[in-house]
Amino acid sequence: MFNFSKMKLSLKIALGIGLVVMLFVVLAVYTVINLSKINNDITDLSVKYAPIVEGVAAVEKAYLEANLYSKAYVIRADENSYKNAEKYKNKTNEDIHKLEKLVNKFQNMNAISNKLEDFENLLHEGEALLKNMKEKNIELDKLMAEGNEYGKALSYDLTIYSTMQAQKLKKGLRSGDSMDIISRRVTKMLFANDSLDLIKTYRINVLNAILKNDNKQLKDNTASLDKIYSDVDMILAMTTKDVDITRLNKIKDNLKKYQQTILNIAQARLKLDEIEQNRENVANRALIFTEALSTSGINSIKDNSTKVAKVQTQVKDFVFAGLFICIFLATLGCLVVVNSIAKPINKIVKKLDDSSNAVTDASGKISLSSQQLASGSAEQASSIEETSSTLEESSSMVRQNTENTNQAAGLAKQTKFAADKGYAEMNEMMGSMQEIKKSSDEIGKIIKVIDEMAFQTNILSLNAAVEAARAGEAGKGFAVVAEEVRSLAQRSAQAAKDTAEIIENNIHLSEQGVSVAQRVNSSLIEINDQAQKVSDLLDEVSTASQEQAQGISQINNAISQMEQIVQNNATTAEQGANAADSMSAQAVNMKTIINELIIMINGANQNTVVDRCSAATAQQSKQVQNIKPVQAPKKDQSAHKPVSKIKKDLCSNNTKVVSPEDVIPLEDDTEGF
Amino acid sequence: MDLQVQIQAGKHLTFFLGKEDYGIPILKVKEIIGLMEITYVPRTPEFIKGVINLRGKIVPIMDLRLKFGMKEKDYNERTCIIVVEVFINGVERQLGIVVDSVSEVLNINEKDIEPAPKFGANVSDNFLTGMGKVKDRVVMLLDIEQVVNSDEMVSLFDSQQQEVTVEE
Repeated sequence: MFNFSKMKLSLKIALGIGLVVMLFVVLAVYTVINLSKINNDITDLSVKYAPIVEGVAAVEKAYLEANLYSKAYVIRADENSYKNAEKYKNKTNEDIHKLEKLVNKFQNMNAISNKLEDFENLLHEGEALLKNMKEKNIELDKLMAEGNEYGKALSYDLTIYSTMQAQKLKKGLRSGDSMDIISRRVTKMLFANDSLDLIKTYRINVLNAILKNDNKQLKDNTASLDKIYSDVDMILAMTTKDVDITRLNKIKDNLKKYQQTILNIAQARLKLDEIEQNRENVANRALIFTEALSTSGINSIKDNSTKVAKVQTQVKDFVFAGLFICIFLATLGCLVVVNSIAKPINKIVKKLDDSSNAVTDASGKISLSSQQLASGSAEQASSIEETSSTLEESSSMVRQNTENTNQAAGLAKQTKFAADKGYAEMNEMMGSMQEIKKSSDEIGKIIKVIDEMAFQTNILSLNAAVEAARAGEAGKGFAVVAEEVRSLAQRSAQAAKDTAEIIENNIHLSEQGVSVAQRVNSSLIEINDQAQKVSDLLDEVSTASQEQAQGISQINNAISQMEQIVQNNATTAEQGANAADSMSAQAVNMKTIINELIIMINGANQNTVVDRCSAATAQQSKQVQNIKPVQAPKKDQSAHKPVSKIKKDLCSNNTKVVSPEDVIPLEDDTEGF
Repeated sequence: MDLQVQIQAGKHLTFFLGKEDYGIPILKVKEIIGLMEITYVPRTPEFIKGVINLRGKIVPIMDLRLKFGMKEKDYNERTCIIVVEVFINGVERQLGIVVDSVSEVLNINEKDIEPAPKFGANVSDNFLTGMGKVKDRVVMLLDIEQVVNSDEMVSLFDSQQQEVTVEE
C-alpha cells in the first residue's frame, strides 16, 4: 500500500526533513506549554501564596500580641492591658478580613478560608469573654471597694467604740465608779479590742487570700467574723445606753454587710476564674488555629514549589529525551534518505554505465552485422539464381515423373486384371479338388467292401480247413484248396489294405491341395486389392506431380520477387551500418555524460573514476577486438590506433569532452559501404 | 501224459486274445462264424454273453477274455465266434467262443510242443496242454474241455440239457 522506495526523490527528501521539523515543532510546543505552566505556578507562588502566608503571619503575630495583652489583663486587670488587648484583637480582626479577601480572590483556598472563619469566631468568643471579664472585674473592684469601706468603717467604729469605752473607763476610774461598771467597761473594751483584732486579722487574711488568689480561704475566713458577731452581741448585752446600742447595731449591720460583700467577692472571683479558664481555652484553640493556618499556608507553598520542581524536572527530562530522539531520528532519516537516494542513483549510474558500454559494444556489433548482412545479401542473390536454375531442372523432372506415373498406373491395372483371372481359375481348381476328394471317399468304401469280402473268404477258408480236417484222409486235397483260398483271401485283404492306404494318402493330399488353393486364393485377393491401391496411389501421384509443376512455376515467381527483395536488403543493410555508426558516436557521448554524472555523485574521487575508466576502456578494447576480424583485410593499422586513443580520452575525460569521431574506429570503415 | 501229448499234436486253429496266440485242436472246432446277434440270458455268469441261433440251433456264447479274467474289449469286424464241440458231463455240446480274431490253421509237430510251465499268465494251469513253438512265436495250446468244464458251465448246461430234452 505504501512503498517508500517507489516514491519521488523530492518527496522523499521533503518527507525526511518534514519529519524532523515536525518533531522539533512538537518538542518546542511541549516545552512552551510546560514553561508557561511553570511560570503560572511560580506567579501563583509570588502572587497567591506569598501574600497569604504573609497575611497568616500577620494574623498570627497580631493574635499573639492580643493574647499576651489579654493574659496581662487577666493578671493585672488594668485598663491599659485591656485596651492593648482590644487594640490587637481589632488588628487581628482586620488582618483576618484582609486575608479572607485575599483568599477569596483565588480558588481552591477553602481550607484556609474555613479555618479563617473558625478562627474569627474563636476571636470573637475570646473578645466577648474578655469583655465579660472586664465587667466582672469592674464589679469586683466595686465590691472590693465596698468591702474595704465596710471593713474600714467597722474598724473605725470599733476603734471609736473602744476609745470611747477607754475614755469612759478612765473617767470611771477617776470618778470612781463601781467595780461592777468598771469590770463591765473593761470587759466591753476587751471584747471591742478583741473584735478589732479579729477584724484586722480577717482583713489581712482577706487581702492575703486575694493576693494568693485563694478563693476558698476567702470564703472560709468569713466564719471567723461570726466570733466578732458574738463579741459584739456580748458587748450589746452589757450595753444599756441607746447611743451605744445604735452604734453597736450599726457595727453589727456593717459587719453583716462586710461579710456579705466578702462572700460576693469570693463568688465574683470564682466566676472570674471560670471566665479566665474559658478564655484560656479559647485562646489556646485560637493559637492552635493560627499554627494550623500558618502550617497550611507553608504547606501549600511547599506543595506548589514541589509541583513546580516536578514539572520542571519533567520538562527537562522530556526536552532532553525529545532532543535525543530528534537527533537520533534526524540522523536516521538522513541516513535513510541518503541511502534511498544515493543507492538507487549509484545503482542507476552503474547500470547506465554498463548499458552505455553495452550500447557501444552493440553498435559495433550492429555495424559488423550490417556488413555481414550486405555481403550475405550478395551471396543470397547468387544462391537465388542457382535455386532458379535448379528449379527449372526439377520442373522437367516432375514432368517426367508424371509420365512414368501414368505408365505405372497402366501396369497396375493390368496386374489387377491378371490377379482377377487367377482368382477365377483358382476357384475352378478348388472345385476339381473337392470332386477328387469325393471320388476318393467312394473308392475307400469299395476297398472296405473288398476287405470285408477278404475277411469272409478267410473265415470260409478256415471253415473249409476245419471240414477238411474232420474229413480225415478224404479231406486232404480239400485242405490244400482251402489253404490256397485262404492265402488268396489274405492277399486280396493285403491289396485292399494297401489300396486303402494309397487312397487315404490321396485324400490327404487333395485336402492339402484345397487348403493351398484357398491360401493362393486369398493371396490373389490381396494382390488384387494391392494392385487397386497401387493404381489409386499412382493416380494421386500423377495429380500431385501436376500440382508440383504448378507449384514450381509459382516458386519461380517468388524467387524473382526474392531477388528484388534481396537487392532492397542490401541497400537497407548499408543504411543500417550508417545508423549503427552514428549510434556508436551517440553511445560515446552518453558515456561522457555518465562519467560527469559519476563525478557529480561520488565527488571528484579519482580512484573510482579511474576504475570505471579502465573498465570502460577494457570493454572498448574488447569491442574493438571483436570488430577487428571484419575490418582487418580493409584497414589493419586503424584497428590499434583508436584503442589507445580511447583509453587516453576516457581517462582524461574530467577535463575534456571526447568527440565521438575520435573514439569510434568504425567511422572510417563504414565509408567503404 | 503221453496220450495228452499225442492228442495235442496235429492241426490247430489259432486265434488272438490280446497280443497272445492261442490254439485249440482243429477237431474240436465245429465251425467259425462272424459276429452275430447275441441274445442275452439272465442269471448267467458274466462270461456267458448269451445265446445265438445258429441255423436253427441254440448255441451258448462264452467270452473267452472274461473267462480268462482279461479286460473286456468292444467287439469289431475282426471279432469271431469259434463254435466248438465239447463234452460236458459226458454229453457232446456245441459252444461259441468269442475271440479277438481267428488267425490260421497250423500243423504243430510233437517236437515243437513243450509242456506248459507251472506258473501261468492269465490262464490257470490246467487250461493249457502245452506251448507250441511256431517260428519265433509261442502258441498257447488250450484244453478247451477243461476250460468249459468248470462248475458254472456244468450247471448251466445241466439246465439247458433238461430243456433240450423236454423239447425233443
